[in-house]
Amino acid sequence: MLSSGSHDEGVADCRVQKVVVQPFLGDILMFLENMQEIRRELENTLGKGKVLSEDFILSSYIRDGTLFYYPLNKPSVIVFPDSSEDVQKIIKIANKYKIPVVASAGRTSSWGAVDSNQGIAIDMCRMNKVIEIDKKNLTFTVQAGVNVHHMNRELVKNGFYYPTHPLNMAPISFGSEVCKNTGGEVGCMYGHAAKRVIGLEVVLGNGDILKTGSSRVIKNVPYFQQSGLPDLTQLFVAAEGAYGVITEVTMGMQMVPVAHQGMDIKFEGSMDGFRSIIDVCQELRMRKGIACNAHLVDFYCMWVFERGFAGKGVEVDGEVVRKKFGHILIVEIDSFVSEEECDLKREAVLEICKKHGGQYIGDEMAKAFEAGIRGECAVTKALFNESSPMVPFWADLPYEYVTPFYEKSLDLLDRYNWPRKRMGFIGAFGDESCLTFYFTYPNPHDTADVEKSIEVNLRILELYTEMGAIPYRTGRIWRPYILDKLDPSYLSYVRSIKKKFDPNNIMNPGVSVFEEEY
Amino acid sequence: MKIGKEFVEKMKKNEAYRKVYECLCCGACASLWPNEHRCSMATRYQGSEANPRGLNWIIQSLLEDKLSFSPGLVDFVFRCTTCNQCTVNCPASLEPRSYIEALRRDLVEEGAIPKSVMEVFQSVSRFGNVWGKSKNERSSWAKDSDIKTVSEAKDFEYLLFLGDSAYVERNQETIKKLVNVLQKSGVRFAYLGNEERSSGNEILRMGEAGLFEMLAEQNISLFKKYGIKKIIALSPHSYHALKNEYPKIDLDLKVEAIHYTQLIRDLLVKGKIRFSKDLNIKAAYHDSCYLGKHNSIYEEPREILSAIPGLVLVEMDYAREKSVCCGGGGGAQWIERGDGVVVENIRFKQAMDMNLDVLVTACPLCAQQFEAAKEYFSEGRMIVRDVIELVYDAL
Repeated sequence: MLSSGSHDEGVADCRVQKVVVQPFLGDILMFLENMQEIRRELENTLGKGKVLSEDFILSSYIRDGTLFYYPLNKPSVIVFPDSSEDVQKIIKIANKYKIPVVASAGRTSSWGAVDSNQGIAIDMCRMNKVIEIDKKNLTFTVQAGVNVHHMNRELVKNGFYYPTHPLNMAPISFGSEVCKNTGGEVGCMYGHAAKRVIGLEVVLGNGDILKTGSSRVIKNVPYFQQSGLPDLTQLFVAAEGAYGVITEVTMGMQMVPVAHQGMDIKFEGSMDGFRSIIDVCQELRMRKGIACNAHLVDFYCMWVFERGFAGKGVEVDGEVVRKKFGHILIVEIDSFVSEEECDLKREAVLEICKKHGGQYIGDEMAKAFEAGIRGECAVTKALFNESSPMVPFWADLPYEYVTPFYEKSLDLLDRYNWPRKRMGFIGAFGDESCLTFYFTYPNPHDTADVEKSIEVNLRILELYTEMGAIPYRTGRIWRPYILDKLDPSYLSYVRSIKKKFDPNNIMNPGVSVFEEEY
Repeated sequence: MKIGKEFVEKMKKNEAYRKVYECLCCGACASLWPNEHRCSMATRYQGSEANPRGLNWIIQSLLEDKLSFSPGLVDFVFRCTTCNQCTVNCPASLEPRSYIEALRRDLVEEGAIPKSVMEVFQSVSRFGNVWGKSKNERSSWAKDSDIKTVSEAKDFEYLLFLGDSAYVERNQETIKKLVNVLQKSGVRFAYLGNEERSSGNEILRMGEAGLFEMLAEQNISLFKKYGIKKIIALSPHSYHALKNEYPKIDLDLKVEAIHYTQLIRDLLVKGKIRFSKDLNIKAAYHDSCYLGKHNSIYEEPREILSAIPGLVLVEMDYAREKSVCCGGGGGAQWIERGDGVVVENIRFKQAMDMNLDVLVTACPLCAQQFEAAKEYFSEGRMIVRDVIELVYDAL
């Protein structure tokens, strides 16, 4: 249980309703006593330039995308490996002293996923080499700290791209993509990391280096997804670093589409309109490949965008927005054949939308979303211009529950007197999944407002789990809500693997579902 | 240096610092950099959090009494080159540079300044320039030139403001060529000679607002004394100070400041500059931060270069508002480098990988930084040139 406070006096702590597991509580004092020795050993082993422990530098690692929800522990030392062998040395020392280790790169993870537990924080940013781009077999291999945006810039020069890119400018690494099984806003159609990852190199918690990928383990063959050998890769997908540190990633890439079109379809800004959009998305989903991407931006989120585009502090009439935009469905279409094929798909999509009451209003939002993929931030700036939002909740919902969830969530906001003007909902729909983003906008300078927002969001989280949502990532915050819903046999095997790979439980202890609760 | 609790108490009352609580931790302040680089603040500590986002959490820790100031932290604050990338990128409109500069101002007031920065302040205070050289050496480059000072010239339209680049041998070549091109184009101009003082841009960026005000007032009094109405600035840093900061010092100041590339482009359009030589080179233009990100001047240098016969102009990766800083601005050139990122080498290497004949810039500070990078790489083939040098070569 974490205490509350005020950053007018001290800190805006979060208040988490359920107990957060801190399995290292007993051992923290022991390794902290040895910290000088540990730092010295790391410096002697890795070299001084790879180890930082000045207090202000450690303080720069106290937050990630979790923001107000969970005040991360300050690490005791930060290390900067540039090879798998360096990582192995770090893990060896960590096992010797039984000190927790967590790896991160871009630090945009959320939900308390990368808490150092006051131990060693591995900053993967120097593991940033592109090892290979295999144009014939459509794969690329990178060290885990390579930035997704940077990689796409390189791939696009060669006519390829990695399609599960995030719709913002964050420094997201490939190691993180796998640890969190992300896919960004286009992952729903082209697949999340789980689908794209071919193989990995991992330094396990026991110090062993393990290569995975059913073809990656055969010497002198290129990397394919399919082979006749058992594939351990998926064990590490969404493991949030609890089994080991991912040091290399091989991903599938694809050709840049020959043609691309986008369109904004307006639906009534009501529950009926929302329901219609979900029906459209279900129909699009049935016709595999007709659209590469479909985003629902609800009326409240459109209102946020309009306020964002208008400028900070500028008032925008909600009813004008509702009349002009309603709920918007942004559909993007790719073709790997021709512009004509794109046109055909477009017509088919418009027919479906029209059947359900949708009206084509242009492609402004579609273009803004597409530009975001190139790192042009107009969309994200508009979204964030209101104020810093709470960490948005991302969860996959079964299609049939999206509308009832949305309806109940609005009722919940009303019950808690949270103004609907300060929320937004985005859905990313595809044949792979139905990923929803739910966010509220607190005033970060008003502790009471922040705490209320946390409480509202945790109620939304409960609502998600009641309605069968799958966490987009578990971290530490979602864990208490999901544990009792998991199959005990599954949990048992996940935990057995944890004990095998990480016998001393040094790898990101407390994250996700890998340990018993107490 | 010792910074006590009173300093932090003062920080708590300053609204500028409260902005750090609005940070989303999105990392946009650093993300659009090339893969191997985060921010110029990483010149000692190469890590993902040696950037404005990390500084936000440091400031939060200070405000919450969880962290004390240290010499290392003070040093870190002075590593920012004020390139403005964080401000351009930030989706929450935090303008990190504004509170980095606020923190510098507060530290300067407290007397908590890195030694090398203090030396620059002392140099400016004594000699009116950042290099510690005599005021009388400012126009030493002009001994073989027929450029006239404002007191000598009978009639002139523009003041040519050279800034402290006039003391740097490498940049003196640029100056001579600029003077030559302006004369050949029929521009009526003069310069302040040894009366000129540093524009003070880097002094202001480093937090010495009082010293900057002194410099600005000295220069402004000269503008008024000589009836200056229009100024051509050689350096984007001087340009930025003259255009954006000086009017805040003197609200009655009625002077139009332009960067020289703006004038040269106009002269080209009017046919006052004609090229006769084919340069036969492949070149890329590097957008300097103070011309580009701070003042949105991107096209004029490109238009000039595109007009030069035989010059094939290619675009660098990370161009215009995404340009990678040369690492010299904001006082960073005077901060002792550590084992971290060598900023100018990153940009220079990008240029080398493009197989260029010439890396072009319109900023004397960028030119200095890249010449240093050239020495580091022992790169023989690619040369560094200012835009005006290529104009001169093609005349």
